[in-house]
Amino acid sequence: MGKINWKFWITAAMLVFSVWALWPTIQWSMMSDEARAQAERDRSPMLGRVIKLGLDLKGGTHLLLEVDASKLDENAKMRDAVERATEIIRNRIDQFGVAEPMIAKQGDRWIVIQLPGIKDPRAAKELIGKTALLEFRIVNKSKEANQVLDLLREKGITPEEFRANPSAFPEIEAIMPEGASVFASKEDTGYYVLDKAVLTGASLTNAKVEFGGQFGQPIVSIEFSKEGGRIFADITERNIERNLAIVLDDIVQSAPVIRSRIPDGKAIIEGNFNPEDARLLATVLRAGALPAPVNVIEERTVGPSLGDDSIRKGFGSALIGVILVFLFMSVYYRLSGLIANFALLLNFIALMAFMAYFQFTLTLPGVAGIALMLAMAVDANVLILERIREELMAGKTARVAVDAGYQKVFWTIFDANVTTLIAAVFLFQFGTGPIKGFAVTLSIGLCISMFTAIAVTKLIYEFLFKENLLLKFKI
Amino acid sequence: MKLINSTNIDFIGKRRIFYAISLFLLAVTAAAFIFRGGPNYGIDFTGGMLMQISFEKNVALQDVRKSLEEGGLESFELQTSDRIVMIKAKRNIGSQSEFESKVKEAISVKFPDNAMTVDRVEFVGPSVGEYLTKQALYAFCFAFLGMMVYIWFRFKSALWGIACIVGIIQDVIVTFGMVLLVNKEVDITVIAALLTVAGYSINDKIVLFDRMRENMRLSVKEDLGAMINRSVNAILLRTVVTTITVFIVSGSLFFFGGEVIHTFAYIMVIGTALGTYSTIFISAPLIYGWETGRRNRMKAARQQGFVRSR
Repeated sequence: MGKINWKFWITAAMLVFSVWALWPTIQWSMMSDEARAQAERDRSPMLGRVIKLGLDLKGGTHLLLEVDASKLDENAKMRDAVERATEIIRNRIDQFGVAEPMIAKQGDRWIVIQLPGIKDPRAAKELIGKTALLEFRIVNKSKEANQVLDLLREKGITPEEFRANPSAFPEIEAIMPEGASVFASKEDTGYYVLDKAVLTGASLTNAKVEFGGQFGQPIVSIEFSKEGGRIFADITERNIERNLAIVLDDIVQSAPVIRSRIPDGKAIIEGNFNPEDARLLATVLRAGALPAPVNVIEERTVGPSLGDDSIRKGFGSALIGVILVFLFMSVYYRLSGLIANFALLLNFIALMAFMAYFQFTLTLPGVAGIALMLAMAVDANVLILERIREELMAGKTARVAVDAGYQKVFWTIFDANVTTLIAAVFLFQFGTGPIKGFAVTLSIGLCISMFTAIAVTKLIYEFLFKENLLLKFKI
Repeated sequence: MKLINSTNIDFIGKRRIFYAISLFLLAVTAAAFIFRGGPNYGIDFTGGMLMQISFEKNVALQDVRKSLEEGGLESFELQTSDRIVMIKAKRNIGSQSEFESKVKEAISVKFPDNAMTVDRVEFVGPSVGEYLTKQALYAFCFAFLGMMVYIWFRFKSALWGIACIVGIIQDVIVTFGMVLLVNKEVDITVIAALLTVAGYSINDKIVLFDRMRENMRLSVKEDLGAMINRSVNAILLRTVVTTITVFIVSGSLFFFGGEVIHTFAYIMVIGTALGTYSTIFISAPLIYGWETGRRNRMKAARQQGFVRSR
């Protein structure tokens, strides 16, 4: 029978594919914790084939960032800025060393970041959120500049207040040298009036932590690009005996006096750093500065122990439910129930294989989605079996009744699944993280169930009829 | 084995009773809405912050509350069970990091010899809350529209599509009412569960509609009411069995699934029951009522000679 053949081969191919796709996951689940940690350190290729668990099951942090449009340069485009910020954040996280991070643009000005398994979300947030706008400005020591500083001190105005809205302080704005502005210092030694930036962090090629200075405290040494090095040499030559301020995020880190021309394009940033600060700064400088500040507007962090607990309860309850359904089906429909159960099992295995192969994320609602999908897949078999029962009662022979049953309910099952899929698609479209996981398992599962619940069970009946194993049909 | 024998229940004849039951359910929903003063939206929609902390030893709710109040926190909600404390603050919480460090500090001052770990942190900014609200509304509107158009296309009748959606909307609204009634918090999970209810409900309706279409083709002359009754009775056994299997799964998720799945399963249990109910008692009778009305109008028009019969 040709008809049996194609169904058989598809089923066989599906089984082989499933075992192949699930093999790494099975191996993974039998590995010890140490072996897993080792595999993660080695970035073993196997990781790319194990079923991906969502943050709610694995533990980790989900962040949604908003690029602050108000602080963006006037002529910079929002879209470019978000794209660049995404790239830079990806660089920073790569250097920070997180296994399998996910960083993506979302909408016009949002960036979504998922960091599985990190223990200290605060450090990660600091790393991501640092603007790291590095500027080199010459200190202005003119008469006007001194007047500005006097005025600020007299009236108790901070540099931030002035910079935020210069026109609110007309008397200061009037005497401010052109292109200059005021900045606070990290050392708290008063304010500086600084000329326009002569160089920025964009001209850097490298930044690293060194231990130098009088007390061996950490400093960050930087290296300029060729072009930047030339500008730097030029500036140092023209401004000998003046102070060059190194400004990071609008705070003066240090303002050393230029003794001589610096031709090799190298400089150091001193700023009383502790080693951790210095490391963070060097990382951020290497990865580049953000085009505009970013704010965390959503955070969801799940600790690893909670994730384990969710896995146990989620899988446990789903398993209990499915086993009970299996029992019910085999008691109620006997042999036909067993055949339906077999189809369900195949459905489940194929679903997990698809999840692993396409690297879809399995979340806790996703587990509920699987359980629910199986319950709905049962419905297809219930429909078929009840229909066969009707046909039998109408006096048809077993074989004719089975054929008629399948034929008559095919479109019912098709329509019912398509409409449920419509709901699932919108759930996917508009849902967030975990909910998307639910929509994914539900829709893939329903698609597979169209094949397993109809074709595979039919195949088994056809085989039984052909071998004359099923002469009477009892439900 | 067979759970019930062939039935011959007159569903259509009793439709007014079931309409009344539906109205009653909707009234309960409205009452729940008024009684609770509107839905208790979670931080997904209001914006705010949630922290779940587990202690090494058991703590008392009032001690934690006092410590947080002394730490300078105001307007927060607390839930505890043994060693686990959940702190929730809605709307204006100021800076996230400030809130977090305030909580940690206040608690470590009050319970110095009881180590704690933060198991879960959720922070949702106000703009995200607005965004999620909009997304949830879109999801429902488009899903309903998509389903209606599909049924219209498959059954070649807008009327059937509308009857179907009316049933589903009733299911979703009443299920939502039952969420309000037990004062569960409305978060993204609730929305997802409600959409799933809609998905299940339409599944059920399609099965009946399909049988009705088949029966209509087979016996054109049969009275519409009798035909619908015959269809409902024919698939009644299937409906019972499927409902049982879905109940088994939702029930197991409800009792053993842990806190996150709990609400989901609660909604599924109520929603699937309602979905089955509205198929038989709302959507099918609505089709009967509307179709009969249309046929009567056609007949009347024909008798008066407005429409020439071919």
